[in-house]
Parts: sequence; C-alpha cells; structure tokens
Amino acid sequence: MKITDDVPSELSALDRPNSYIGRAVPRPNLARLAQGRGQYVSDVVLPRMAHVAFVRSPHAHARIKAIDAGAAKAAAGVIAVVTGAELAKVITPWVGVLTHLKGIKSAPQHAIAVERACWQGEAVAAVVARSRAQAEDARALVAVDYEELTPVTTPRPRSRPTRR
Amino acid sequence: VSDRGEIADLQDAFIRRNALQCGFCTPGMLLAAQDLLADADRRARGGAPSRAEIRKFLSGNYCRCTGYQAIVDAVEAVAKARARP
Repeated sequence: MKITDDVPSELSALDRPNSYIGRAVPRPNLARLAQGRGQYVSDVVLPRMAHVAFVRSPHAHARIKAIDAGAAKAAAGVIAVVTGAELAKVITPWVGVLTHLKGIKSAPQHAIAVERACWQGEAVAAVVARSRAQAEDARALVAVDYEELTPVTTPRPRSRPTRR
Repeated sequence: VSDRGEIADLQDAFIRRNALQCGFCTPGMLLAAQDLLADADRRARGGAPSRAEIRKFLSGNYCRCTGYQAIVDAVEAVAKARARP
C-alpha cells in the first residue's frame, strides 16, 4: 500500500535525516550573552510605552461567565482592560506549525481565553496601564465569574467512537 | 569585568560547556561563581569547592533554560583549573 502525504511538501535542508541531531550547533551569540550584553524585553524602553498585567484563570478548566472590569478601568493610570472576546475581534487565533515537520499544526489558540479557560494560569483579561505597578494594582480589581468545569487530565478523548 | 578579563576563564567555560541558553541569568551566575572562587578564606584553605558546595552557593540564582548541570560543570572545571598551582 502506498502512503501519500495529505500535504505535498518540498524538503528543506533541515529535513535531511540526522542533519543536526547529535551534532554541536554553533551558537554565535554566546560570547555577547556571556558578557551580559543581551537585550531582553524588560530592557526595552520606548516613547509612550504602556505596561500590561494579565488576569489569569485560577482553575484548570472553567467557563468564563462574566468579567466586570469597571473598577479596574477607573483605576489610576489604566489605559484599557481587554477581554478575550474583545481581542478576538481584532486578532486571529495563532496556529503553530513546524517547518521541519510539515503537516503538523496546533489547534487555533487565542491570545486571551474566549468563553472558556483551559488551563490554570491562562490569560483571561489584559490590564494596560502607564506603569507596571498601576497595571498590577488594577488587575486585582477585575472580577471574573467562573463556572468550574471538569479538568481534562488525559490526552485521550473523553468520548470515543463506538467500535463495530 | 568582561573588559578587564577578570572572569574570562569562567565565561569561556560557560560557552564551552553550553551553560547558557538565553543568557538572562548568566551575568548573575558568573559573578556568583566568581564570588565563590575568589573567596579569600577558601583560597587560604586551598582546594577547589565540591559540586555540592557550588550548587549550594548558586542556589539563589535561577536558570529557567538550561538547568544547572552544565552550569555546575563549568564552574567546577574553572575551580579545578584555578586550584592547580
């Protein structure tokens, strides 16, 4: 039986068998990093820069019934409080792919949870403020009403098709 | 300290042993290691610190990328090299 790919693919250099597995890969940036000369997100300062703090789900699986951001929006320094549903109107979900494993792709992932949080710590709302301290203070004022759902703790599907 | 070459052997060992990935924690690791290895009382007693001593000394520094095995390897290699007469 001949097996054909569902996605026709052109092989890249990375697809050669054992082209980089088991070999030392050059790291040209190491000398700079070992001298403390790396640049990280927390080093970046830009004009009119704002800071964000995320409200995160305390539950492994929960339906987001309501988000009350009124008090947070009125707090000092707050520019905006954005929920997943609001953000989904302007940002399409991200789908992860791997150039060296063609055909594999992740389920669509929203930047902020929409309707349902699927892991403990998933972002449920973003609080944007003039300073990080103000964003974190206002985050504490966001009230989220959750309905806890059963956590999914196994990779197996919860319902399987019946065998005949 | 990079420009003075004071910890060049530690920096080289970190690079050789691949003891850094993103590099965020590396300056702290290097200076803590230097603090341990340059300790005057220790040098007076002689001998390189053990792996357990290195681990304990670096326990306040977090690395979220590479884990600590390679970092301890690198510090241990330099400690032994410096302890040689």
